[in-house]
Amino acid sequence: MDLKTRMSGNVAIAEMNGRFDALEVPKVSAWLDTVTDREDSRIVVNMTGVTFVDSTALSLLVKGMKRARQHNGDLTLCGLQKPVKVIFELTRLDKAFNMYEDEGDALHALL
Amino acid sequence: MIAPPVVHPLQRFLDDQRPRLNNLAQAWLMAGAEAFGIYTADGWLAAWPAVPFGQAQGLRAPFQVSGKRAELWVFGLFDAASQARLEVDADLVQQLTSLNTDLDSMTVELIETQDQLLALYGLTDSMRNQLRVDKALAALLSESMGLMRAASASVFLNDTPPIVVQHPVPLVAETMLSRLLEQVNASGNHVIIVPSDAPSYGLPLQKFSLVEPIYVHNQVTGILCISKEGAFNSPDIKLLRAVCDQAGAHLENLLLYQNSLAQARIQTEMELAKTVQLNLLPQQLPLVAGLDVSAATLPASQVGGDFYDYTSDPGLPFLFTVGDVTGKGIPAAMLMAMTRTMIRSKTRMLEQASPADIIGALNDEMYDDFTVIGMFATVFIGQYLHEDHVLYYANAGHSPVIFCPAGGTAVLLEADGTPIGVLPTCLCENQAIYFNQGDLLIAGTDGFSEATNPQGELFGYERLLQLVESVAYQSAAEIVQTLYRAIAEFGAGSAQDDDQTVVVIKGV
Repeated sequence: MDLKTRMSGNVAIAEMNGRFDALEVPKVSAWLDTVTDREDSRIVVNMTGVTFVDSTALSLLVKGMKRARQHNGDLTLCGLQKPVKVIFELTRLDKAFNMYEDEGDALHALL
Repeated sequence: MIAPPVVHPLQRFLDDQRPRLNNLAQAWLMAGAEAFGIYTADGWLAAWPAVPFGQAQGLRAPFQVSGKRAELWVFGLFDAASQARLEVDADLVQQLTSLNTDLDSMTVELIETQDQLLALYGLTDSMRNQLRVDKALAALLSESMGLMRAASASVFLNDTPPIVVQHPVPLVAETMLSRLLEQVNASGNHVIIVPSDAPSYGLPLQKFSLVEPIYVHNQVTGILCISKEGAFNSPDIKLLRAVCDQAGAHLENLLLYQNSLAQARIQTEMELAKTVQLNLLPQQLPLVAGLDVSAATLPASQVGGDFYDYTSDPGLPFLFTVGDVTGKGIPAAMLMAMTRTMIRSKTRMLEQASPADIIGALNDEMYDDFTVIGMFATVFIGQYLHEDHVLYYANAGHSPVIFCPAGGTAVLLEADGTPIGVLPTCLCENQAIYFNQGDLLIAGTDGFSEATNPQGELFGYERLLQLVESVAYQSAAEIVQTLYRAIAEFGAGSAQDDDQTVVVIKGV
């Protein structure tokens, strides 16, 4: 899996593709630790290229979302492919995350 | 240490072979010579009976000793035969002196080699009795200091965390030793720090220091730094190099042994954790009026977070749970044990608790714990009321849960609440289904739906639903067996990444 990160204003964006599973979690976790460790941390995880998410990856996203909200920010998701969206729906994590069609919508919502 | 005075090699020869040179001189004197002598650039080295004074005349024959010119002299003889004999004598003395010098240097080398062998034997002997790296390094330090007659020494091993042993006191800062290691690594050789540079390295003042690399698996992993009064000569450096090579080989074995030991310990603890975890699961199937119940779990190689449980206290409805704490390893196993215990205690504490009540209370109680660890758990709780033939359930993010009415189509019972530990409040509602003879409910964990074949394809929900429909006529225990067999056949030998847990409830 590739992880590309960048900033858009004060919003931290991560773009991933391929399988997001336990093997890939450490590098995403290291990035999340840096961006959720500040006040008003706003994060967008662009999952347009992600084909599969396992439970370890889900728990990392939940952890990031909770930390961002503790700091009065949020971690939002965008661009979920159908099979990945199904995983979020089955676990009802779609009720916990703010999810958007694309990165533009996610950025707009965070501003 | 004061350096010995430089001795002319011919003088050494003279000291060793004086009786034979005496014989040579006597032979010349008997042949009619007035005197016989050996002359060098520094003057007369020896003469028999003595060097004649005045205008004495004679024969001479030059020869070379270690690149220096010397001459044999005979006084009072002048014929060609004597000149020829003197030249033969000069050649003989030259050859013998050269052999004597070679013998001296071979003796020195032999002694050095013997010293090195003894030193290495001593080092091996004292290090091999140590099974701890720090103790082995202390033995290395002690042996090296003795060999070099050093005033102080430090050894630094770039482990995690770094190991530093110093004697007699910790003189050199760890950061400085780390810097010296980098320097030695960059140069690929030993480094000598002269007294004038010692302060900038924080090394003992007015001392020479020799820093030798210690190689482990062909990498500079440590250094041995020896400080002493005088300069280090070539045999010192060679000896310390040999010592460090020997130490490196021993450390390599020691680190390998320690890693194996640590691995074995972790493996044992994991096995123990797995045993504890399996013992937390119900050891007997429950006998419930109106239901045929079976369950099983197949743990993955690592301990995981799957669990199932039943409570069938007299007078209370039969209650069963299937859950999955995300992640693997000891943290997941511990949270799984806590979650299972908490469900049991909430079930008994809350009077006439419904599945949704239990899940709500569970989330309230454990949200903070899950937040600290950074995990969550999906939980399905079912409650069967035999008199009403109704099965109530609440589902906090758990899947797959499949309901297959007798003769009907299998469907997923989707969750309506977020998993435990995701949001501060878990809003699950009780759902109800009529549960009659032949109806089937299967609550599994994602180890089933996410099992993969060698091509990386998921077993998936569609296949699982079709499979359930096709085996719905079987007993609960048979269904459990069929599900495991189907997943194993699909996997075709692929490694099982996740626990596979299933509870099967069938109306009878």
